[in-house]
Amino acid sequence: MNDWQKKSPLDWETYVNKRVKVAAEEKNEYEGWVLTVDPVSASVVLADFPENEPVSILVVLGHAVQEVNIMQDADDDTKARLSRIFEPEESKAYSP
Amino acid sequence: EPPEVTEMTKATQATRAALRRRFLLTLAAARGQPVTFVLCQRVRVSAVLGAAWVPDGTEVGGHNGSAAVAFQVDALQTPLGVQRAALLRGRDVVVFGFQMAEKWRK
Repeated sequence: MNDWQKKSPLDWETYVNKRVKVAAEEKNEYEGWVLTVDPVSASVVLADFPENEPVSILVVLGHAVQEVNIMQDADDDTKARLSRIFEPEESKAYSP
Repeated sequence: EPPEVTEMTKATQATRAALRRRFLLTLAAARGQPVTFVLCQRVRVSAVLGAAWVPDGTEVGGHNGSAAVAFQVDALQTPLGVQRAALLRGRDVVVFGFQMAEKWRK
């Protein structure tokens, strides 16, 4: 189990709504807004909003995560956008 | 004797549930979509995601946790041709991605 998988839900929660760079196995690197971190597999779900294109979702599997670096905090608009991606209907922003 | 439920435990459990919920919604959204997988050795394959199996957390422990996921896919495109149905092991997958429209956006 790697260091990332050993973190607690409260640690992972600090990454939600942050723009991050994830270094993964075999020199793969991914960037995006953190939607969530699965507390079971430690997989990181990243969202990105390319202009005039659908939302791009990336799931980096927990076992492959080597390092996660926070680059930026989301503004309110981005937070709202992130919270609405998967919600079946209008719902409140994520606040535990 | 059940363990004492502290405020800290409650906060951890609530956060855990919220994080997990979003993850399961992600998998639900990916179902039936064309998905690109990056596997070991940077091999890229495309397929339609049928189902993802993720344990509920009770199976983890002792093991390294990496076998915790498996993906059932249809129409897996490989260099050798298209596999009608296949099962990808989670530990062979580095990342997978898909696109989705923001229906609610004006």
